[in-house]
Amino acid sequence: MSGNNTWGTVDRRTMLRAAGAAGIGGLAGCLGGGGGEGGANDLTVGFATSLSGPFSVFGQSALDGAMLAVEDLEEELGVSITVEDGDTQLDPQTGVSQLQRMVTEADADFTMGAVSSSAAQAMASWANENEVIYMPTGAHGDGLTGEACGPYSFRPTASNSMLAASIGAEMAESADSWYLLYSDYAWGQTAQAAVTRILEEQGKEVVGRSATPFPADDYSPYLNEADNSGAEGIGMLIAGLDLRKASNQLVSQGMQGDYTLAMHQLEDAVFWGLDRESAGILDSAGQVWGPAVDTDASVDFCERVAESSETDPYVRHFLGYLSMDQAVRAAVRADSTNADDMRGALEGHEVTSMAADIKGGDSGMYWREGDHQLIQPTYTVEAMAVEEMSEDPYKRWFQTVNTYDGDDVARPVSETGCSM
Amino acid sequence: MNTTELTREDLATVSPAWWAAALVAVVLLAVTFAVEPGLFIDQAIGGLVYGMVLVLVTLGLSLILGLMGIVNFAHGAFFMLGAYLSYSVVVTLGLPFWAALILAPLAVGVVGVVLEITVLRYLYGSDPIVSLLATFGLTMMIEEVIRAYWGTAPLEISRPSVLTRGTDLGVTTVPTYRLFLVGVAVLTIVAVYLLISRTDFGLTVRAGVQDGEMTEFVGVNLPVRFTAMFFLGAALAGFAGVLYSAETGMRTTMGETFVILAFVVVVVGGIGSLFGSVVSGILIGVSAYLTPVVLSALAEVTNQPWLALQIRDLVPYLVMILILLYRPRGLFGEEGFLE
Repeated sequence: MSGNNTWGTVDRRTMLRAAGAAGIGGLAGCLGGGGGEGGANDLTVGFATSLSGPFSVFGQSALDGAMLAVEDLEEELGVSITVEDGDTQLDPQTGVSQLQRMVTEADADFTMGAVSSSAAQAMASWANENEVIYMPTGAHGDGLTGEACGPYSFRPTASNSMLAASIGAEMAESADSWYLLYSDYAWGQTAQAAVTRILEEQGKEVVGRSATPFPADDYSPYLNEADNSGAEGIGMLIAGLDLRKASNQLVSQGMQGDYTLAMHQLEDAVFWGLDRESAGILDSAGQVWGPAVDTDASVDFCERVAESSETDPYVRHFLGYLSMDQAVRAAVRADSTNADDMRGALEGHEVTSMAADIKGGDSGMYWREGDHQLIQPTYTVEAMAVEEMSEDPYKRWFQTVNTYDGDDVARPVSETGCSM
Repeated sequence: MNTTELTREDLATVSPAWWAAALVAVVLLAVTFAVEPGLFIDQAIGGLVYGMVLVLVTLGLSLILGLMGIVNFAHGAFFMLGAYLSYSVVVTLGLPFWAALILAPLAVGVVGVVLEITVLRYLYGSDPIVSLLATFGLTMMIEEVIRAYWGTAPLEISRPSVLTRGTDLGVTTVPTYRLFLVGVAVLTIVAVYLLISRTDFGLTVRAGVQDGEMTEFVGVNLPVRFTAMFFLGAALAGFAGVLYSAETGMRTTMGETFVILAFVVVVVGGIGSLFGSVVSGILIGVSAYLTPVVLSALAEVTNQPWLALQIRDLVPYLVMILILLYRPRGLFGEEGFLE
């Protein structure tokens, strides 16, 4: 990579290396300067995500999607992209160490990745302190574009509150009282807060809630609590493949017919482990994207994923693609990997690339300047009739019910708590 | 391995503190039942079922520790190995779940035999810390083999469809698969008990533990019996792994999670007591399910919301602390082992 080095840039990287060698994080941010080296023809991207543990399927899928974007970007833009990947496991500190290694040892120009919101928040904090662009690829916790927002972190996926707002009307319409089960970490906590807020705004009651450990094997005691709460509906705000376990146990306890069941963030892959009849247990479900989006670009993307990834296409592939697409294009537009230059190229930018076509929806996508949230359409989906579910060339079990404009479901910046 | 050490004399000498604690527990349970009758019944039955699952997971460890004096930290690794082998049997070989229930434990048992012959046989009679360290090392080796071969992503197999729904017990509905686990656990416990107490094999092994030299002197091939016993312990761990993972899936941390819990069950029940492990497993299962309900009811009755603590995961350890404070040998353990 060449050109446009500044004193501050050189010093920052040198100091980061020194800090990395000494095992000290967050030292270099105070030195100012910002960003990687200039030019954008030869890029190294750090992709740190969960490649082991309970989120490994999600992390690997995002990485697979990102590699598809690399193919497209190299062909379209004539750039050379090297992806340096690393495993964050489920641990915020491991995530930070991976980012630090990528920037200081692998010379990553900018970074992305993470599934867990807790890990993503720690990684975003490190990136903001050290003036490195970071996209929390698949983390939905509101804090990332709220109180933990920062000048160099840009969230490409929808936030919990956007997804909660998407299903809020349907939840309120279908039941007057709700019990919420939520995974007890940043993502689940903010999801619970967002869903509670949306329901209460519509005059509905949350009669109880259970914070469940994540990951967990046994959801029976929490399901018993929900079953005895007197609620008409149960919000299943449970992360990752644990939602499959909880759904299985709910079906095993014979509860599926007794309640309205809702989940603000449905990921198709979670339900592929259930039988087809059980896959339709959710009455209301929000979604960032899925094979249910039937634009030409989306169908093409799904077919490419089906050919190249071990997992059938679902939202994590798209989020990996979207992150890589947006970060690389920002560097190319800025003709620099300097963090401030890339920030300038992202803030307020309207997405017009292939990623927007894959995403679907009519309202378009843009990077909101005030909190660095990618404002984008969201969906509510439902399971297709069993006989209509398809498996070839990839699984397609859900269909879109409603599409929401991003601006209609995102909280105003003034309510996010973000201050940059 | 004794089956019970609690006698009428023991009960007669129970301290007033124990009676007071029991009285408080009964009052709390009565208050909880009055406040949340439906939830109380659901959680009590759910906890009982979960307790039996814990017993099943613990049985192999209890057997090896109680009978052979080996602190087998590799129990969790055997448990996990059984789970992952069942994945290969069902997904790779395409055989049904029932085949995995037989083949995977046998394979784990064979692994156990290899490790007993090559490593543990040389440690009999040593300080327990030596076997603990040796099996800890074996645990790390087995876990790395699992990571290398099966990867780190969570895996799962399908249960037979007949076991995927719920069974209505009248007062509550319990997953059919868990009732199946309870049935299997009861049968396994009875089979192990009969093997130890009613067969020549069990008798000679117990005799060998007490006086190996004399037992061999009368013509018993003790090393073969110890190896067979270790095979049984490892196979039981693998068996539990297959059964448990069919409901929850396989992940590379399941071994370490359960070996700790299994040790808690064994310690609370009393090292050396099969009966103690059964009681302990049920006690811990029911406590884990009921404690949050009791606290919630207490918070409601006293109007002190802070009492409704979500401490379900802490309960097994709190139970262990309480039991060991007042009875260091565990509920049915032999005096002198830990005191």
